[in-house]
Amino acid sequence: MRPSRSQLIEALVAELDSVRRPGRTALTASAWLLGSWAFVLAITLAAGPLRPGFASQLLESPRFLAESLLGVAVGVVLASAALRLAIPAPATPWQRNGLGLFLLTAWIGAYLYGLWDPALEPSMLGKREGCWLQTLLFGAPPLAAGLWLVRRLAPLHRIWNGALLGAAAGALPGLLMQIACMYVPGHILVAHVAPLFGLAALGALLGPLALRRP
Amino acid sequence: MARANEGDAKAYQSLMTEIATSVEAYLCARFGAMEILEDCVQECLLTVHRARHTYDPRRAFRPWLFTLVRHRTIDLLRRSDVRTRTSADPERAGEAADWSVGDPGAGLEGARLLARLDPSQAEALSLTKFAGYSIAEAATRTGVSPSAMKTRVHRGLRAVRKLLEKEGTPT
Repeated sequence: MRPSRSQLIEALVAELDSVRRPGRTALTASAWLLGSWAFVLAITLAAGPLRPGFASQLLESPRFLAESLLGVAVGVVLASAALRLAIPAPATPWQRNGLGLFLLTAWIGAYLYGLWDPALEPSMLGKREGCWLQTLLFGAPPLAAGLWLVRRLAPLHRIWNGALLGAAAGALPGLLMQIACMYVPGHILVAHVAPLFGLAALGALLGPLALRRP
Repeated sequence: MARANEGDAKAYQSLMTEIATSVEAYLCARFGAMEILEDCVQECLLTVHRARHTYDPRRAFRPWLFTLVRHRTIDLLRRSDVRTRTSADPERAGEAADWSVGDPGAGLEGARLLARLDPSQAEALSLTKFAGYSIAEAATRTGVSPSAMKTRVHRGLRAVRKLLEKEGTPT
């Protein structure tokens, strides 16, 4: 039997307690990113060394540096967008995530352009066996942590939320492979960036299962 | 809402009462006096209660509120169980059936938003979501196949969601 409206309101008022203000999604996203970065860096180093000479390559090639910074921006903006999307607001997910999707496209575009004119001389130096699998596996725990964080908010677009978290989580190891694995744009696209879409698809699948609408 | 989030029960009670009235007026203006109106209002109150920790006092309240209301209403329409409830209550079942017998469009009187839909979609929503007919019964009534009726309902709900989003936050 349905309670009357006033009974319901009384019951809701009875269980009212003070809540913390959530408006700090940027802080939460930063904490998630930093934690995920630390985890991905540690596990990447545990799995193998970074590419010899990557630091001088970053300093000497502005395009390589720009590609790397673009990757950092993709991770930061997508993570922030995923958390902001879990706060109810009237704009559609496309409107709210335009910047992240634009940066992701630009990042991929930079490597596509690199197929014709690479930022660095392509080389097998630093090659890691199974780097695509490492990228997938290393991104999975940050995705799980992100889902746990978003679950505590009010996700209304669960597929979008999951996909964005997956993409943000995949961008972290994908970017790190930029300095941990060999530099060949075709290889980067297939083995370092493509897993990001795998994680985004996984996130989109897990979103409706792991997240609850309020 | 900011005061309620600090634990002020009186402010919260007054806010919830105001929200209930606003949501009822909002839904009534768009869908008419539908059978599940009270359910929608109460579900919206529950949703606001569960999501209250996501309200940021630095932002406007109404856009936050009506985003929740729109999503909750569409969810409820999708899994509307009017049929079950009306079957259990013969008097109400009769009312629900009378509501749309003959001219399903008659039930749309006052339902401004439904009236803006394609007539076949409005009829499909009217029969299955508000009058309580099953997909098969609504299909028989309108002389289309059950899968066509399902498609109309699905498209109708999608159109309703888009119209609600397009309308934005009520003033």
